[in-house]
Amino acid sequence: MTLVRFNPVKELLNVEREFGKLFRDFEGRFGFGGDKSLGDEYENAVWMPLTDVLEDKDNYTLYLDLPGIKKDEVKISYTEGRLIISGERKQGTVSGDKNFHRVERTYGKFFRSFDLPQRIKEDKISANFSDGQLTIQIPKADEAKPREIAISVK
Amino acid sequence: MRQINSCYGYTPKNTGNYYGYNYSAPKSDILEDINGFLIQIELPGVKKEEIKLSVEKNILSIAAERKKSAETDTLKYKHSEIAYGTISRSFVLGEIVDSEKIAAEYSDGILKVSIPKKEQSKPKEIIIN
Repeated sequence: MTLVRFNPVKELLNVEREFGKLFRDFEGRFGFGGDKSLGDEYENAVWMPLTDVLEDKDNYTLYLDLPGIKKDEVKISYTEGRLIISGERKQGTVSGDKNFHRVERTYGKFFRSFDLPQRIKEDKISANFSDGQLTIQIPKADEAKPREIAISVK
Repeated sequence: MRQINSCYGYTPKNTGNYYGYNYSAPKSDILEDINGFLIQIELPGVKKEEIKLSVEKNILSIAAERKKSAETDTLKYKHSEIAYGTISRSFVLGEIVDSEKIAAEYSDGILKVSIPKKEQSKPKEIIIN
């Protein structure tokens, strides 16, 4: 067991940090300060797809749930270390005599972004769409792969 | 891999764990017109063969199995939001529908179940002599 020194200021600092976060977010939303580099697509998004992230020694693999979206309705872009997935799920043309009893699914614009480590092969990012699931494969750069160096003992 | 966690500062949650099962109810839209009902159910990442649709008396049940994408010794999860396992949902059908004529199709992760109404329960126009 380790002894932890009692520090009453720590809690106070945590509160300060949380408030700071709150205001940064607020500033960002109203166009002063904050991270504006994400642009309109981020500002207008109403939902974000659930994502699994997997890693092995050669690749990062992302699985995104995008049911009901066609292949050409999703935009994937990569700029300055940031992978952005965005698009829109349209409600479709519902003719006048159709009534909704229940709407649980979310419609409208979606957005999600991931900051990738620098050492990836950005020109080799590939994506595949099937059964409403988007798979994005991001190969790691050779220098980022774990290497094993054999040292001979003389 | 660091991610920007959000549109609104939170990560979306899956439906969660109930009763010890990794159970989740898929999101569904229900529409109606004069000819029948249409249920649209989100089943992303599920193969068509893994979906079972059945009608018993007046209950329409959907059961599916969402398999975890192959995780091997080398391929590891870093972050997981998607729920895997058994998916199920049931709908109670009214007396006005014709359960013999239920049809379903699956594409782009959406299961569309159309349930026609019985002829006698469709609205009829009465001609005035």
